[in-house]
Amino acid sequence: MESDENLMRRVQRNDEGAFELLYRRHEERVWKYFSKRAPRRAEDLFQECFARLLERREQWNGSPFVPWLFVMARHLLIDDYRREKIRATEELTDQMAPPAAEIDDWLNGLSEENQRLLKEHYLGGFSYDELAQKYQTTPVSLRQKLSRALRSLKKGEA
Amino acid sequence: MTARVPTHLSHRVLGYAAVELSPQATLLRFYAAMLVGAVITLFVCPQFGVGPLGGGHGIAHWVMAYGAFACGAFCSAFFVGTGTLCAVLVLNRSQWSWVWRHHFGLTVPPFAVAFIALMGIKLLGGLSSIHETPLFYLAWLITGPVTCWLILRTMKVVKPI
Repeated sequence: MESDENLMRRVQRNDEGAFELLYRRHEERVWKYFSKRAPRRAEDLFQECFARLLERREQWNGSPFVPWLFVMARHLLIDDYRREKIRATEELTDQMAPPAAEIDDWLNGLSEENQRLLKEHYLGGFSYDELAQKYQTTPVSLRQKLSRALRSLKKGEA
Repeated sequence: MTARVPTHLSHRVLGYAAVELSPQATLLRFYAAMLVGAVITLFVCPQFGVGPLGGGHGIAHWVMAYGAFACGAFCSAFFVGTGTLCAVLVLNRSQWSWVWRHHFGLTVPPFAVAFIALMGIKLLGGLSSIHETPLFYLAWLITGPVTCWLILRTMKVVKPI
């Protein structure tokens, strides 16, 4: 039986028959890989994986074929997870975020500075380091300020 | 999810591979259809003196009344848009999938050729005074790629890959 690497060399010379042999040899493993890990997106990922194999055939340098194929599959899956995570987070944030007026009411009892800090950190997504830089203080002191603001918010609620 | 690869998926992958490994027929089809579509648009352009649609002026005459920018934008959108639409319509699913994947590389060269041809016609004195303004060419350069991209995006929804 011809090795995968030999078939891949033939694919590099645009041999369609060699690609079909390679495909038939590995389709089920690749399909199981995707359908187990991302059942809803398995078809797209599977298709993309072989399309990418073809597109990058020139970059294959004779290394063992199966690990090369599955590294590509894994990268596709990671990219897909990232996209899904971003989408899910955005949807969740949209669903969970209370209306702006409600937030303002809630923070009303705090000083203006504390309101601004809480909004920028928790709603604006600014990190401690970024805020410390912006207000020319240290991240540690900023963390303390935020913590105090949260405590007074809790007290106000109680 | 089944343990076996769905048959339609295998057909799609192998069909795509056939195009990717020997794209000449697809390229020929794509560019020939694009050319036919683009030539059809010349029938409504008064600049080339052909016009089975109302003596050669037709809708172009109406657009020209809005100035060089509108004229350039319409010319480019109509020329590039019709060409792209014809090209996509004649492709089968595997070919269309391949073209979509490489659409940037495939559509820039014909657009560049068309623009160079337009400039050539201008240099040979084949265009009227409205085309002497840089606005016309600016509109042509902006609208063409935008129209092409819009048509490809729309067709991706209408004719899924």
